Amino acid sequence: MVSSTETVAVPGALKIVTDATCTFCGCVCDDIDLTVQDNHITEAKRACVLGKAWFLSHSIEDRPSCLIDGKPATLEAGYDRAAQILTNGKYPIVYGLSDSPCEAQRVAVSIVDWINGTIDTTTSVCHGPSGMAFQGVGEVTCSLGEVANRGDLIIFWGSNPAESHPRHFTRYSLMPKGMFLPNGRKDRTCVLIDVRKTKSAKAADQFIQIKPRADFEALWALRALAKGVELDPEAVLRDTGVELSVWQGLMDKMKAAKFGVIFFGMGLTMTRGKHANTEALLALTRDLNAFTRFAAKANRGHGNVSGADNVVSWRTGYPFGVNHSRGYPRFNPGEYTTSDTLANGEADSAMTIACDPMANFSQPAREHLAKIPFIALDAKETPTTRAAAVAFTVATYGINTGGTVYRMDDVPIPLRPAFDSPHPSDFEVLTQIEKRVKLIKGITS
Amino acid sequence: MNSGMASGPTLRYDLVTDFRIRYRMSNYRMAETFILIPGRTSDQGCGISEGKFLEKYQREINTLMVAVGDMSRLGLADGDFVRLTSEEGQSVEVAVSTAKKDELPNGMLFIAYGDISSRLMGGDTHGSGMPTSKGMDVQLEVVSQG
Repeated sequence: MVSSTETVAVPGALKIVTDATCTFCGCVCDDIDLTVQDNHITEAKRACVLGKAWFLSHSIEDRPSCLIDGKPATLEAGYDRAAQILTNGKYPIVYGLSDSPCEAQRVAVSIVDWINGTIDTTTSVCHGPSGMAFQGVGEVTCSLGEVANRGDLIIFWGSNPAESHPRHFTRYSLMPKGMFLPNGRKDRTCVLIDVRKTKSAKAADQFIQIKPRADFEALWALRALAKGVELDPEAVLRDTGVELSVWQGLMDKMKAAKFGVIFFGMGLTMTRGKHANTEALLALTRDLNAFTRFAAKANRGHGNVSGADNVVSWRTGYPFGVNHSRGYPRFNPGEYTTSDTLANGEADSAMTIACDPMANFSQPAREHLAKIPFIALDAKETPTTRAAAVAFTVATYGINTGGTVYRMDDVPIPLRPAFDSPHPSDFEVLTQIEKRVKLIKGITS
Repeated sequence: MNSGMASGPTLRYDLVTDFRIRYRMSNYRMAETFILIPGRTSDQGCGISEGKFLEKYQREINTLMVAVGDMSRLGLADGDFVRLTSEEGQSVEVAVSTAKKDELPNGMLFIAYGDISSRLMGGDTHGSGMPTSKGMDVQLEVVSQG
């Protein structure tokens, strides 16, 4: 958490912003010192390679704030057209939100409520299956602060933080000298479990390379070992690609740990098995609490994807894939999630916020999105903004605008903007669209 | 005229044609099944911020990493092109590059998340909202070699 914050004006139009928050990934590091000159960040002290690219590449975009059908338009015209698109649809969807502050996410949920639409976040194509598993099994969890102070056995499963969350090791999980781990890395053991030897393997004491698509089998083998069930060594090797003795050694480490944590990534959720894989991991974590303290944490990707889960849950009772067509929220992954509403050809209008489905979705989903009218909000030009009927260039959250984001462990963290943008924030754009939607719908409250 | 017999082109053994077919077959490699793992890389992550239309990002998401042993067995060199076809029939052509020595086992491919990896996903999410995006079976065919 933040200890101090100050914005210091320096002669020569230099500005130093201390304890700025990086919103590129779910680590949400809030100890970055920014040097700002002429609406451009020239240095991001303590930021990782991804954070430096994030801060140093977001200056003022030399593009119109609004494009309608690819042509520059006024913001007012854009708001009007956006509201028309959303209210004309019989199956409007709103998608994205994981790179927006909670305040903007909240307005997006309101819009969906007014138009009886479907709201979904990028969670559905990253840790959506984990969200389903949380509901099925529950979550033994902890904050990253507890990991830093107590975690003596750190396991990464299907996750490559060296490239996806570069400061994970140094700030939270491996290197910190914690309250109960005075020697930092020397007091911890790190195990990496993955199908390929990623760059994270160098940071681990042990690398266990499992067969592709064998996560479920490996996790259930560990569950059996935790309970003392005898296993056939040949079957374990055949099903997981790893000797039983290796799994037994890992189980011994798990039971001997004082505070173990499994950080899991999309190696579990995107692979065949999906939520069943995560359920097995969460169940293993629960089992281990009969012997010692153990927690599981999803390594979340986008800067405020955890905020999106939280905000959509506050507002609807469900974290993603929520349909309001009957006037009340219904949750059904596989039906109301955006990959499905697009690939099945059901959505007839859309609004995408801080996401890029035209680059990241399956071909059938992209082809359908290209056929329907949609609105796109993004700080950068993307394949999605290029294809949108209405494209808003918005200010970058955390660099140009303030607000609140949630770190991957659901700890809320404030943003400290570095300089103003001539472009509106996504909060402003969504608020204006909501006003017009309510006018069209005759809602006066 | 109808004698009740099927009519059609006259079949005649042609030595030259036969040789050509046999020559082509000797050079033809059947498509092989590989397991594709798309994932995050540092350059792909930086490229998102720096600009998705810039060369750095485009190069990263359009390069397929192939295990050292598979590169050698297939006679591939960095920059050669292969065609990948997913179980759903989506097909892409992509340049290959040799993976670091022990990063990938033979039979496994890696590519940074992006347009190519997404095109290979199917539309079906199996009731989860998530198309299978890692550990996908793909058919690999060599398209062009330097």
